[in-house]
Amino acid sequence: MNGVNVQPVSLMRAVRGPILLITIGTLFAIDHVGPYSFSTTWPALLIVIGVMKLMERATSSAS
Amino acid sequence: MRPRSIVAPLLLIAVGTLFLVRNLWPEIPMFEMFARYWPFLLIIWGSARLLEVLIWHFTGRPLPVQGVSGGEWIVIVFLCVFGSMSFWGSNAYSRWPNSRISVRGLEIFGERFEFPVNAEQSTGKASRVVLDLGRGNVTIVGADGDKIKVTGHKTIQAYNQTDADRGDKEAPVEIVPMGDQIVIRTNQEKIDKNRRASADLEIAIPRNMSFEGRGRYGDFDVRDIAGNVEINSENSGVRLQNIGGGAKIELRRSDIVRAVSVKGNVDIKGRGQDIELEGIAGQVTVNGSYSGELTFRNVAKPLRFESSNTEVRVEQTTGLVKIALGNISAENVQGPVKVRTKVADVQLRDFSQTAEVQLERGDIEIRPSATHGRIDAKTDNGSVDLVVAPGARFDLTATTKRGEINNDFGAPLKVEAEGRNSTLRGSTGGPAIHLETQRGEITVRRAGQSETAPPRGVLPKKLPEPPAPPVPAPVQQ
Repeated sequence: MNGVNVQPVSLMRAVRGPILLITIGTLFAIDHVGPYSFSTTWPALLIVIGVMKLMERATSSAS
Repeated sequence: MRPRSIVAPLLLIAVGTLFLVRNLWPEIPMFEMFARYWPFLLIIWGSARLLEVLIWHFTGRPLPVQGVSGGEWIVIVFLCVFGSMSFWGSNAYSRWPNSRISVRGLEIFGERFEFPVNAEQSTGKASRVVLDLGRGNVTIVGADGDKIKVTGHKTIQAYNQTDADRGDKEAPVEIVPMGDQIVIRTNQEKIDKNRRASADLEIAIPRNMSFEGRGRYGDFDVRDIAGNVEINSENSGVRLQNIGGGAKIELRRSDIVRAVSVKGNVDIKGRGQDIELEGIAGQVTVNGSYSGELTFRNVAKPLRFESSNTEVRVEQTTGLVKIALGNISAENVQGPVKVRTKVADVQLRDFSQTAEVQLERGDIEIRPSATHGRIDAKTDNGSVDLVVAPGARFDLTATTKRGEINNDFGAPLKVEAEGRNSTLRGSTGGPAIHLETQRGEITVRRAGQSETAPPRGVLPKKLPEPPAPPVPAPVQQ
């Protein structure tokens, strides 16, 4: 669209920080008020980072 | 130019609001709220950033390289470290391990199977019953005869009937005599965690025995027992009624501890919410942190409350002593009375003997009865209000470092001003009363005066007097 083909990549990059932040917040919230402690839920962070990396790659190779 | 984020100003507004609320309404437990809910700050922060980035993207504005900048990450790391520390440090932590939420979480798995419980045993020479409950609610009632009767039901969480039946066999409710004790066990620890067990029991024991209860989660209800009662639980509501001996209660968390008519001493330790004691013939000692309201009515012997920053002592309570977050009051009590805390409004009414109040912030209201002793009341920030009975004898010295003095009592009290300092002094020949505030108003008046509508025709005659002192007090420089 309109030659702004750099946009999708930078959108994924820009969105990475906020999503990571939300994930960390959610895990801590579950640790404090939910049944699972942070020491059991931390792998979710790796999964989220991995998924974001994959999506970055997918969008950049698609363009 | 890249668009600038709205998160930084929002954060500033939030921090400002937080501190303002803390200053204006000190009774709101901001620290505890922060300790428990700080992760939601991260979620809100992240969501705000995400929303921003998306809006910028779809309005075609240039995007920042990173959604969350390096500086922000540093703040976030500090927030995480500080938040975790305050969470572990606060009592919020101890509330969760066996809380309702985790129980509910596990109840999702499997089904509940119920099994009736029926057991009976004669007590022989034993003088004490020990209950090892684990999870569940229990009612202990003193009865005639010399038999222990256990009735009720056991609930086992399992995927199917055979699993549940096995759990039922593995965790039988037993009554075992052990020396001069009789132990009632539910054996819940013997079955694995996948089949959670709990027991709701009603136990009748001979009236003259003592009772000791140990539990993890669930309420204790003890009635009509002549011996001592001792309860130790991780999370429990405790209700005692008509106990002939003393009571010793130690809880890591509780929603309520209520004791009505106990002949011996009552000793409560740990953390919880509300405490209600009424008609206690022995001493009362409460030690720990409680987030709700503590009421004490009719305590014949000394009452002592101690938490990390509050200490209250009353010699004898014929009326009511109430301790809540941000407010401590005592009415119709025998002194010596002592209240020491950081932030709270304090009201002492109708007390005899001496009184001592020491606060960092909060208003003090004192209405001694005619037979009071020495009174010392000190606050760093707040007003002091003294209401004396007409014709009371006292020797008053009241000082405010910064604030007004209202002498509604009239002669022989006199205001002496000295810069911002003012002192009200005067004596009718009686015990000393010392009032002191660093910053705040001091008012001294007679009981019945200016409380309701102007009483009788006496007041108008005296009215011209009070406006006079405040005029010289604020010396303008």
